[in-house]
Amino acid sequence: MADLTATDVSFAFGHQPPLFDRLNLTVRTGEAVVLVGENGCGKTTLLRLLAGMLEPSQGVVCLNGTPVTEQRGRVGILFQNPDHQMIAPTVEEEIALGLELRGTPGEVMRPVVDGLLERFALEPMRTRSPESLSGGQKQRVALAAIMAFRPLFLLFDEPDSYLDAPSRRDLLSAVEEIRGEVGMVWTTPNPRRRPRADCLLFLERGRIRELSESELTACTQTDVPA
Amino acid sequence: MVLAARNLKFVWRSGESEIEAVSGFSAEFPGGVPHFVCGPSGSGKTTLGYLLSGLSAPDSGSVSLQTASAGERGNIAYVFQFAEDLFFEDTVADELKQIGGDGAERALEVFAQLGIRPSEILALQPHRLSAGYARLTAVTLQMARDPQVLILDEPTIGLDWRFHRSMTSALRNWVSPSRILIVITHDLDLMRELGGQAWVVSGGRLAWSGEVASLLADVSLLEKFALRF
Repeated sequence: MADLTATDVSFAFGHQPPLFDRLNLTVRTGEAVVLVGENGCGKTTLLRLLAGMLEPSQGVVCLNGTPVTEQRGRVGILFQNPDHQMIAPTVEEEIALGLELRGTPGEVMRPVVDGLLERFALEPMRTRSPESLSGGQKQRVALAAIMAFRPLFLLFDEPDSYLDAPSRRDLLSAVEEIRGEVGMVWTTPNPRRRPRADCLLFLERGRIRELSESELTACTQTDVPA
Repeated sequence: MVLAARNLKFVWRSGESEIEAVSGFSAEFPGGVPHFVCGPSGSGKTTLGYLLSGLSAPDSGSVSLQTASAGERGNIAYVFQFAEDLFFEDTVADELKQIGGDGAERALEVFAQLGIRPSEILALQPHRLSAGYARLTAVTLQMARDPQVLILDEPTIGLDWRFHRSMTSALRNWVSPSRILIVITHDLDLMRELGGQAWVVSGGRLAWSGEVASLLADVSLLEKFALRF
């Protein structure tokens, strides 16, 4: 059992007011946390701190007690815009890229890539350029590429934003499949669109509150669009 | 005023592979009612948006804007699916200055309609905006250009409950007989709120067109085109 823990984390961009002030959060492998918050409240920034892509101005984010910034590759993050994490000329090369850069032998890498193409319904577009794919298809490629690393934690930054209804359903079932393998944090501005959660959190004015389903509905009003 | 697409065809080419993203698409988009282009992921909606806006040239077919008076030059504004692709300047205020004329004042009016105070946005770096604020800002900038045709690719993605409501309202206010609004979306709530004309694209072709209300009332049609599950 691994844990990803933010302890007394504060952060501000430049001279702007702090987004977080001594924020605390723990996620464990096998746990699915859904983090809801209004636009601009800092959901994406918090995920970047948890992934070690940003350093807190105070406090620390640790993976099993060691700063996450010293353990790259154990926390995967799926951005809202999949173009931000794609560089390879074909879908299969994109999925293989991380393993190749780590010097994984071809005979080890190939079955992993084939398995991920199958798992994320990408086999028909294996040789296509990611550039030619729709937003939803790109998101599936990005997720497959992250899973190739076998991360301990997966951070989803509103990952279903660009998916059509069946693709969203596919992503949610993929999330169900990997639920026990990793710890997950899924952010959304829309409480109605999320996977099954072990814990519902609401981020507001730099603080996190754990809420029940009914409390979350009340504080996000809710005639929320699906 | 009508934006007319005639038999559009567009092929994505990458190395030896070719994907026909848009095949024989024809439609007429008059002003006065919102138009929604919808369909499954990968059906060619975004490519069609590029063709309608003139950002990409079709392999064959044509797009023409028939304006009210002969010789009038049409202008078309487009907001990308990934809204941050529209930003070039260091601050939102600088982005507003680039609009020219009284565009900056109009942008402030749109921000107000959306429920955004100038003090909370103008000094910020556009590339550091959250995805929701980037989308709101991109739509604001393009509305402020006062175009005759406004094409928005998924304008409500990632918006929270407050901003979804204010964006819906701003789009409703924007539509007029002399303006054409085309929204590429899979947001059925937005379509339900605004009504208008739906254009369902599947496999790069126009698969269905009709009133939004008719589409939303037909469950089998919605499921067939992956608009709900």
